[in-house]
Formats: sequence, structure tokens, C-alpha cells
Amino acid sequence: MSSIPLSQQAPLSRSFDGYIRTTFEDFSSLDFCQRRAWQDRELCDELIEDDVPAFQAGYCEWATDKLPHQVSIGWGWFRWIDGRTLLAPGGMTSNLMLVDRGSYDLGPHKTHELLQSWLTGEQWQRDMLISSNTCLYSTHRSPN
Amino acid sequence: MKMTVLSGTKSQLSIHAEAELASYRYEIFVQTLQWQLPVEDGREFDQFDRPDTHYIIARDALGLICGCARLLPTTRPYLLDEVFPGLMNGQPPPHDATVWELSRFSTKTPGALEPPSREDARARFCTLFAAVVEAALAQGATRLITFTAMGVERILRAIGMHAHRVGPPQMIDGKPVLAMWIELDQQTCKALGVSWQPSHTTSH
Repeated sequence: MSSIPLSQQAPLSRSFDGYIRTTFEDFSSLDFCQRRAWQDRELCDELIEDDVPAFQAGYCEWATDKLPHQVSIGWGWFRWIDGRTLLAPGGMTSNLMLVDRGSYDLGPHKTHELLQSWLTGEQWQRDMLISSNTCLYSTHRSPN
Repeated sequence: MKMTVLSGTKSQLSIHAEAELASYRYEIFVQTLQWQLPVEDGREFDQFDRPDTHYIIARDALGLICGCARLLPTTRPYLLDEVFPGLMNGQPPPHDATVWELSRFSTKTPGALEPPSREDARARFCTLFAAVVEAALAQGATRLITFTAMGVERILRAIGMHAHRVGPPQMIDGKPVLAMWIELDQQTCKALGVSWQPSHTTSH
């Protein structure tokens, strides 16, 4: 288990392994001012082959604004025939490693699970405009 | 599909095998995927195909190349560092004996009349990737750096490998591309059926 004491880091510093380490609490307060979503035909075909009832699919990408410690999270989505937009199987990907209050890694699996839990509380589907264009939307909001 | 995989440096390849590999790469990366790459007489190779470059080559039951990968040490010039450093998202590209770059990875069969089934494609992907990991571990690598299309990130996750992105995807030739770290740890070895030796672990 890797650990870098948070007290020795500037907020959101990059670790030796490329992960950005932060607590879930601090992650939850990040401002993802870059938000993009687009359709991807290959992903849709892949999901259909896996018996996922998708008639549209694509990717969502959110990122914070600050280089070089820009937090990046992404996930696949699919649109069901009833119009609902759901998280695609496979879940989220990121450059984050969540740590506990003692600065110990929670590990990739728990980080993944927590990110997905967090996403269920976000209104990401609301941001996606119904469109047949390749790029559904791309926004860059000013950081708060 | 039965597949055999061999690995070695360019200097260990026969002239014939080297030409076969360059032709396969031309068919896959230039003709099929339409990447903008240097080409000469129907062969694809670049400045990173050096005598010390490591190759992993998969052959089908007929002995024809049906997959390939390239490994470069990051202590010498490599593709991400020299050509696409912007994919590192503001971070300096690695220069470390324990980090190797993976590029030119393919398990496509040129001229195949039908695409392989999902199961067959997944099995071929894992077989070739396992050979890549074994070759990299044999060189003392503990991590790989690579860049790839969005779909591959999903595949690595689905297989259970320990891979994580460097930053957000960026557009290259009109397509989103991601730089990724692949940890050559117990999780990745287990996902690929590669025997894990704790001595592969390094302290930081």
C-alpha cells in the first residue's frame, strides 16, 4: 500500500506513480469546469454485442482546470429506448487515487466504487443535450 | 484461433521477419486505421525502430503475423516523449529504467473476411498483452506508459488490469487519445495470467 502524507503535499499534487491523491471529501469539492460529451458508434456496437439495450452511446469527460495537476474523470454512457441516459457498464476512469484521512490509499477498486457513488449524486445527464451531432456538448465554465 | 507469440529485439529478428513486421504494421496502422505514419515501399517503420527496440510478434496457425507490439525504454528517445509530449498533461514524460513505452499494439488480422468473435478478440488481446507484460518485466520494467484510443481504456478496465490515465483525452487526427500508465503489479499479472514475482516490486 502506497502512502504519501497529505501534510507533505501541496493540494492535488501528483504522486510518483502519476496518480493525483486526495480524500473523497476534497474530491467532492472540486469544480469540474471542463465538461464534454460525444457519441461513439464503436461503443454503441460494443454495448449491443454485450446485450446492453443501447440505441446511442458515447463518452463523458469532466476535468478540473488547473495544469499540471488536472483531475480527469470519464465514463461511457448509453441512451435507452425510453430516452433515459445511463452509465455504461465498465464504470468510470480517472487519474485519481482516493486516500483515507491517514493518507493511506483506498486502492483502485474502492476509488472506482466511490467515484461511481459520487456520480450518482451528480446531474450529469441533465447537461447532455439531445442531439444527433457527434459532439453533444462541450462547456468550459469559469472556476468558482 | 491458435496463436504463438515471440519477443525479441530488432537485432534478433531475421531480415525476413523484420520486413514481414513492417508490412503488417503498414496494413494495420496505415491502411486500416489510417494513421499518418512514415511509409516506405509498403512498410511502416520509424526512428524508434532501433536495434535495441523490443518487439512482440504474434503469428497464426499458418505462421502469418496476426498481432504485434513495440516496447521502448524511456531512458532513450521514445514516441510519447519526442512526438506527443502534450499528452502528458503538463507532466514531464518519464525517463526511468523501470518505465517502458508500449506502442504499435495490434491484434488485428489483415484482410480478414470476418471480424473475430468478441471472445476470440478478447482472448487474442489478452494473449498478446500477457506477452508484452512478460517481456517488459524481463527488462526490469515495473510500469508501462502508452497512449491509446478511448475504447482501449475500457478494455483494460474490463480485463481487470491496473491502468490509469494521465489526464483528459486530447484530439489527435480528429480522435480523442489518452496517455495511460499500466502498472506491472500483481493485479495486472493476475488479470492476464502472468506469474507474479514479488521481486518485481520496487520500493519508492
